[in-house]
Amino acid sequence: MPVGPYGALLDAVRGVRWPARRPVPQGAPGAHHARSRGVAPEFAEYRPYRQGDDPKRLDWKLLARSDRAFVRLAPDHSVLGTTVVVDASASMDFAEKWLLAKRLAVGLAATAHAGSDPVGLAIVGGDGLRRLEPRTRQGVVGDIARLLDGAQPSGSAALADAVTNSAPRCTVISDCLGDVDALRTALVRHLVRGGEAYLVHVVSAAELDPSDEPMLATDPEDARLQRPLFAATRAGYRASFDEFRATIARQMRSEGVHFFEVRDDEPAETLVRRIARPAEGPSR
Amino acid sequence: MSFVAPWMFAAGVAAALGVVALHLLSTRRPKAALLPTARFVPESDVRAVARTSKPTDVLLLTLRALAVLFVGLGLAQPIPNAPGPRVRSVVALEWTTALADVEAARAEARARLLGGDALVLFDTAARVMDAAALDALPAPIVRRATLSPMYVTALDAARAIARGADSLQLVVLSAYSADAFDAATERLREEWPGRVEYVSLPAVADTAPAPRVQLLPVDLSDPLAPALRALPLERGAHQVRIQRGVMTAADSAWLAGNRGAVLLHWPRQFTDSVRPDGVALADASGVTLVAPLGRLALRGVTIQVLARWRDGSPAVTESALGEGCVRSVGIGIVEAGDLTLRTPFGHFLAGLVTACGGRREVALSASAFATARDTGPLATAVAFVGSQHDRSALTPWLLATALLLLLAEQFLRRRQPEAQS
Repeated sequence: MPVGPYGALLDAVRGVRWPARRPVPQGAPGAHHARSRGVAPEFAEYRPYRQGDDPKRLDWKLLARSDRAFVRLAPDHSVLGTTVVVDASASMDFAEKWLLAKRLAVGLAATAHAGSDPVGLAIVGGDGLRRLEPRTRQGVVGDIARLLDGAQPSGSAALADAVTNSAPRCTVISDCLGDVDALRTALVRHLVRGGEAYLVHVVSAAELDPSDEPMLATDPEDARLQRPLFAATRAGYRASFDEFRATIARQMRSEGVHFFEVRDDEPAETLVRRIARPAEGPSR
Repeated sequence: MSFVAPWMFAAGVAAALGVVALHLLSTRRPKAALLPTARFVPESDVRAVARTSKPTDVLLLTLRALAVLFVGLGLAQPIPNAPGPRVRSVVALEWTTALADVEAARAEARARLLGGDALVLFDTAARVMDAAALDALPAPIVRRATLSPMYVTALDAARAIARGADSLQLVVLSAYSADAFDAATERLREEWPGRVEYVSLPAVADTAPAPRVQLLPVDLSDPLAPALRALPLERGAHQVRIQRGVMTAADSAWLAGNRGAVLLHWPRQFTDSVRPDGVALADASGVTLVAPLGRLALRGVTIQVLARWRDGSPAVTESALGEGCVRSVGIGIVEAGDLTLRTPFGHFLAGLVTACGGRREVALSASAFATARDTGPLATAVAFVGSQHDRSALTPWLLATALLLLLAEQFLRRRQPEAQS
């Protein structure tokens, strides 16, 4: 698989599975528990025979013993389509944020693809939306890697549109410095439609603890926004940024979005395992 | 060099250091750098204060620091040292008959007087004397001295010699009799802003209780006669004549012919109004006589009271006459009885036959001795110059120099506006 610099990452996440957090809608057979009951060999429950049911599904032994017609039901499994939405706005081109976003996207795509789920990609940046529809064929992870390597963060990103057209499992990788309210609304609508929503908030260590050297901090997405950052304003900056991150985490988790804050100096494979790990509750 | 206001110079140095410190701080626009989270930085002035290891604008710094230093120096009013000793003395010499050896006191003062020093002569008053006139000074005639006027005059003398000196010392040459200290002495001592050197001179032992006494007219029936015999007389001191009758020209001649003689006029007169009464010597001896006594009229001009009745009225007075003195005794004693033979009467009589001026305490009391001991630094000359509101001649020049430096700084700052930090 031509995955270039992601080889080590893919080796590290091999064997990791990314189960759905709840039963998925009925679809093609897959690894995730489906909401419907099928005819698999494992027994789940009986249901009275209804007109139109396939007579082959009748439990003939039960009918012979009790003269009652019941149909045997078994748990069904289905695939869960996954779209990784990557924020390619200019603010992501800072320190190691973009590199981590790419590695996370490839790692999560490989993890989902390993469960036979169709995997797609949406890159949203100043150049617009570049999309790779969810597929299950081999080589889709390589396609995703190539598409990511060909992208360059710039401008600002409208992530909400990409979420709207996402597969049932939508994973957004972003620094949340764009229109967060629109993104939250889109994720909530996605949840209402029965999908799963993940938000991976990428934060740079240099943003958490900027250099002690006095600087005129300039917003890469708006050059007119310049603020002096030195000893006197550092504490205020940290307090404000901490409050922003805490607010996003609280809001997203309260809406049912699986929220993860990651630092750009953390290893991607560790983060992939953390994100794919089955949750104990509705959100982490 | 000394300063009238040294704290102003210290303030100038501190201000100059402050100027240097301010030049180590510079406000500048920090370098722009991308930070995606810039929106979370609180809004403030983009000019940030930064510290630098090297002072900025060395030329401006030099001009400013020098200007501040010159201002401080000018306000401190420096006074260059004048030629001569850096420590000058005010020598205060007691000049009274209490000194046992006047010539030794004169020599002691002469040895302590150097060029530029001042001489203060004091008895009950004080005056500044020319040191050169010390050798020609006549023998003292005043019997006692007080330190209070000496301190006042010494302060005036110090102001006159303070210019050009670093420090001033006050040297007091005195016998320090107890009566030299009065209620104002301690307070006036505190006016002198430094240490005082007290040199004790030997005093005459003039408490001799028994001079040579003659009783006139000679009458063995006079009750004073046995009392005089009972006194432990020490012959050879001053002469005393007790005139029990009427004063005559012979008495005046006798007084004129004996320097320091005492003529005691104690009329042998009796009165019917004898009653139990008390009379006490006015000195510090505490001798009191309590007996049936009669009060007699006093004659002559009262200069000094030697004894008082219990109600405070004078009982024995003294007035100077020539080089001696006349005492008038207004105490009538009963001829019958043993009053004059008793010890209290002897002590009382001994107090009446003392030399002119009465008994003097030459022993230094404990409290006065404590006052006389002195330690600490010498008085600075600035303390006296400043009190005269003198101004240093250098002050206008120093302030003018500071003004020129400030003008130069202004000129340089306008030429290099960007150099201003």
